[in-house]
Amino acid sequence: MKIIIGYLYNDLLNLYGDSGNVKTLVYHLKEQGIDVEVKNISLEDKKDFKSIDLLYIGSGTEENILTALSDLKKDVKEIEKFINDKKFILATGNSVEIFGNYIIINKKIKALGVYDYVAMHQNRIVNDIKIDSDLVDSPIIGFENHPGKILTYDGVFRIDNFIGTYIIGPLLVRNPDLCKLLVSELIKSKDKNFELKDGNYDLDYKAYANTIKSINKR
Amino acid sequence: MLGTFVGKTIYKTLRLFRRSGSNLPGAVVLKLFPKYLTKIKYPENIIMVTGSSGKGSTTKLITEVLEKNNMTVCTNVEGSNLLNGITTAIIRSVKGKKLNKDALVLEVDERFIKIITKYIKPKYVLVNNITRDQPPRQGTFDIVFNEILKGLNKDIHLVVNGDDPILRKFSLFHKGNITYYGISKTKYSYDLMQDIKDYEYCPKCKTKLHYDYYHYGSIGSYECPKCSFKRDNIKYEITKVDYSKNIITINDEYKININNNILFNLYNTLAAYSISDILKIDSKIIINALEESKINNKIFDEFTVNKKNYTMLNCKAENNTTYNLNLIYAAMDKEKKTIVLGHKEISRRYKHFDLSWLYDINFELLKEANVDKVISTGPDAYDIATRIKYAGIDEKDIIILEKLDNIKEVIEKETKGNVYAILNFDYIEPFKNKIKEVEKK
Repeated sequence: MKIIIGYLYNDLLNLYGDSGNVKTLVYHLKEQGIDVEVKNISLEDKKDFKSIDLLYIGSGTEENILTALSDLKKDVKEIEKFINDKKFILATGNSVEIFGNYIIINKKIKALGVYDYVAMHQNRIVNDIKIDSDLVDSPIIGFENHPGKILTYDGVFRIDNFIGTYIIGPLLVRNPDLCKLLVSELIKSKDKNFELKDGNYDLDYKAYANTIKSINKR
Repeated sequence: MLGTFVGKTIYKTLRLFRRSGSNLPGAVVLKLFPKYLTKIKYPENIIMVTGSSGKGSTTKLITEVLEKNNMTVCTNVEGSNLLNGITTAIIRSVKGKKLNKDALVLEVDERFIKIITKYIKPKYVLVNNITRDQPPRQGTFDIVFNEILKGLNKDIHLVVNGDDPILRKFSLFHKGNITYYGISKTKYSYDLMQDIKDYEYCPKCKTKLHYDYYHYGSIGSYECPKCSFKRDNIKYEITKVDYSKNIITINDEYKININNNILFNLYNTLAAYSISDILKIDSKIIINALEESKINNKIFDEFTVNKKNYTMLNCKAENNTTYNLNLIYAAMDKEKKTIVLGHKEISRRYKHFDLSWLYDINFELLKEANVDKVISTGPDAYDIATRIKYAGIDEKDIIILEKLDNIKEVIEKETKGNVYAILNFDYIEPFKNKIKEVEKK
């Protein structure tokens, strides 16, 4: 089996260790014996997602998010088709705003509109996060650092096979249960009879337990 | 002036009780006399140094050059770079209404330059870098750029690293003079850059920048293929770097023997040279002062204990640049080596558990760097170890020590080669003490 990850705007939206998510996915897919390729797709590249199995997009400066949005708007049909084909999208940090209806920064900026939510910019939110989700049993941990707010969704949310969150950086490293879920679903979407091996998440779980302890101590 | 008297009295009282007193006198004086700073008569030469990292070292280098040139200098204690710390430094040098020195050289926090410049009008502002740094506080480097820009006006002579496109972006907005410094292509420059880059697109027209070579990240020789934005007009240029002898040559002519050749030290030294030359100080005096400077010993140190060679490389958590440059430095050593990583706290300013920055550090280069073991230390040792695992290092080569207690024994018994301790500044002394303490017994 071969899985191709499309890393959207890796040279524009990579502000807070976002590439960690791609590294982790590659590691654990390879661990299952799968051939993995990462395709970088940025401003000057053709947006052809036919061969892509998962699109990843991370956080950027306010200016770069809007640059990416206006670039991606030209290919909104490709994105819609990708979603209709039940393929996976993982959006972390403020890139999550791109997929809603509008981003409101003083004025209303039309976003891709593939999902029904609005991001409202106010004061910057800088926070440790420990929050339950509909995706996994264990609480999701992470860090947020952005000026926006989506009123209808919180923490890590899922719409079809779109997983979005304001959490920045290596979400999948810090939440091994979530990483396992995504790896398993991604593989099963290509071969539902695939027998998954136990992955190596020892260090990840120890780091997770440590952070939970530190957050609870406060 | 009453303010001066009050400030000096508080300072002296604090010193009697052996307190540092670098902030409180300024805080009290500004509370009682909000316009204190605008009433002072300042010397003509006012230099402010700001940026994400290295501004303290650069400020000290400039101060040392000026003093070597027999000038008296008022400067602030490293880190006391907000309004109160700066006011305290000024109070200490004021006689009557006059700042009784030949020059005022200030390290200014990048978020405070717009506030300080309301009271004190600098002739020169040096911005040595703007990188990802302390994201919970700074947000993004674009925000920092805009904050610094608010502190500039047409009367300010700006001095910046011209190799850095985000610093050259000031030329699109700044109406005053700008002088650029930079480093030409050396045999250690890269044709391709694997490290994460802060800035890859032209700030004018959003076209991807082309590079002749990189020194690090997006720092190097860039040119926009579409518009006029490019690296040019470099007035002070390191034209040659002799890495084996630690000698740099500026403008093909001026040789300086420096303490270490880590890239940020080259840039800090060059920045100090540039400002000093703009001030028309004799180049012999500048070189002399820069060569005698000991300030870089704090960020770079080498010693041997029980036949083990240790190199201490000081980093700043949440600042991937300092880590990346130190990793590149360690990797230049072709011999077998062990890397020690860690921090006590991510930040002394706030309590957050943000470890995202670990993934902006190119630990992947350790795969090809003849590394025996990586020792991950401190309260976040498991997070650091996880990062190292995803960099492709075999888990059996990663040692985890949440406390430093046994570190010396572990290094001596379980690791091979030279030790590179790439640590946050709050772990440098604790580590050194552990390595050196048993020796005293």
